[in-house]
Amino acid sequence: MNCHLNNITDEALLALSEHDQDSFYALMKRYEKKLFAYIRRMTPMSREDAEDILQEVYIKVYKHQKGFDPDLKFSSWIYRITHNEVVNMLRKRKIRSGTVSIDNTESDSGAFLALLADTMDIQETYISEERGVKIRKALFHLPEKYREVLVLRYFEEKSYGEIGDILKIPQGTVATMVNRAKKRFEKASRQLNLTFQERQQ
Amino acid sequence: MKDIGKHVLEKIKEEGVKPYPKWHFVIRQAFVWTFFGLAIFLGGMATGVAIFQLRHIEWDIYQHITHSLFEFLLLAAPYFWIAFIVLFAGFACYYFRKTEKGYKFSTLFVAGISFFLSMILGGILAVTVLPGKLDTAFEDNLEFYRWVEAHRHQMWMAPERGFLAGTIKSVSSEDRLEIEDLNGHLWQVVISEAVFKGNIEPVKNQRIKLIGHMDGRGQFTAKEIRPFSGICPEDERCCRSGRKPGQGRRFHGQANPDCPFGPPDNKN
Repeated sequence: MNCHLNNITDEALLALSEHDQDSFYALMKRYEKKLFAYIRRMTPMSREDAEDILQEVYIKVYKHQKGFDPDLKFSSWIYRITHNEVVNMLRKRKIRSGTVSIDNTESDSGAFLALLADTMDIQETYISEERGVKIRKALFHLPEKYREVLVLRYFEEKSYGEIGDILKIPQGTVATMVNRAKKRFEKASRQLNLTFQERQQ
Repeated sequence: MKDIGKHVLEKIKEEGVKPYPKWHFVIRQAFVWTFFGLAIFLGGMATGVAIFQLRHIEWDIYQHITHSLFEFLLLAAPYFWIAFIVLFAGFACYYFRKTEKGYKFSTLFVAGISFFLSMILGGILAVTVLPGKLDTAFEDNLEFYRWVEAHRHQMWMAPERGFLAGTIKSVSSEDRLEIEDLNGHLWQVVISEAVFKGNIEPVKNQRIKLIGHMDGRGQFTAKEIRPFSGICPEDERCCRSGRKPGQGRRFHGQANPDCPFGPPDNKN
């Protein structure tokens, strides 16, 4: 990959993609890890399946590049395509939350809980790996619509505006859904005996 | 993790994948906006007919036909067209949400805007002849429409209280008609003292509404004859000026001497 491509914006790389394979490759590399992680957070599926989805996402990005709305952030657009692809795949395979075992103990569960704890006014200093599994379980116990806003808000660290652009819903709805999702998550985590560290006196 | 980017580039090359041209997306958006516009137009048309029907219901005699204004509105409301207004507002909402930026607005806001646009367009169309023609075309050609709209006319099926509606089966003489009421019964109607309201001419197969009194079984004396679709304030002015009602067999372009609104105004 050419080093000079590192300094080019996503939007410019996309514009070059039709005639310059290196540009498209650079764009794909830029988002590979993020999107792969996002797919895995959204669906309890194997690495191979997640890779297949990501491939499909990139093909769609390539095909639809001229339909990109420049008013939108490229990252929102590519997350939107990924989200749609995941939803399509879930519909096809009829995988529903809670029906697949969660054997993944990625450390990002800890980061998620810490972020969530901040907003819930809960101080969390240490999150065990076991707790990370429980968090993911709690997350997959949530309905898809709540899981996706929590993942985008706390794992992907997207703003409400960006989440709105990705899910194609108004910002106000995003705020409402995030609040509801947090409450649902708290309830689900209590049911799974996921106890937060007691608040410091 | 395998090099997905490399795989994708290979696939693009092998399968000859090409980006969709710009016009593909432009046309898609144009279709969405066209359907949105069409839904607003049809919603406007439905609103226009609903306004037409509301203007033509018998506001002047509602207290004689029903017990209250509320009951009258319940019986005479244009439900068929209200359902269409809601349906097309829903379509408009759906297609607006499919536009590039449509998702940024709440459903309530978009539905409100769609409804508002239909109302504005309907208000404009209501002053044209289009809604009236559409209503008549539906009445004449659609059995289902007649069935749905029947409730609006059933309040006229009270001959013992002096209200009757039906279709003229024959014009026996200048002063006598035979009509078949909405329930299929035949009536001999004396019209010698009847005032014609609105633009109406007593000819065979014309549907009319009558105000008068029942003389006996199958016998009715009409004091007033109205168009089946009702009359609106404009029709009343016609009656006062004696112009339109006079086009028929009774008035011959002269002022209607029996017009309950008095002699025609000079300014008319």
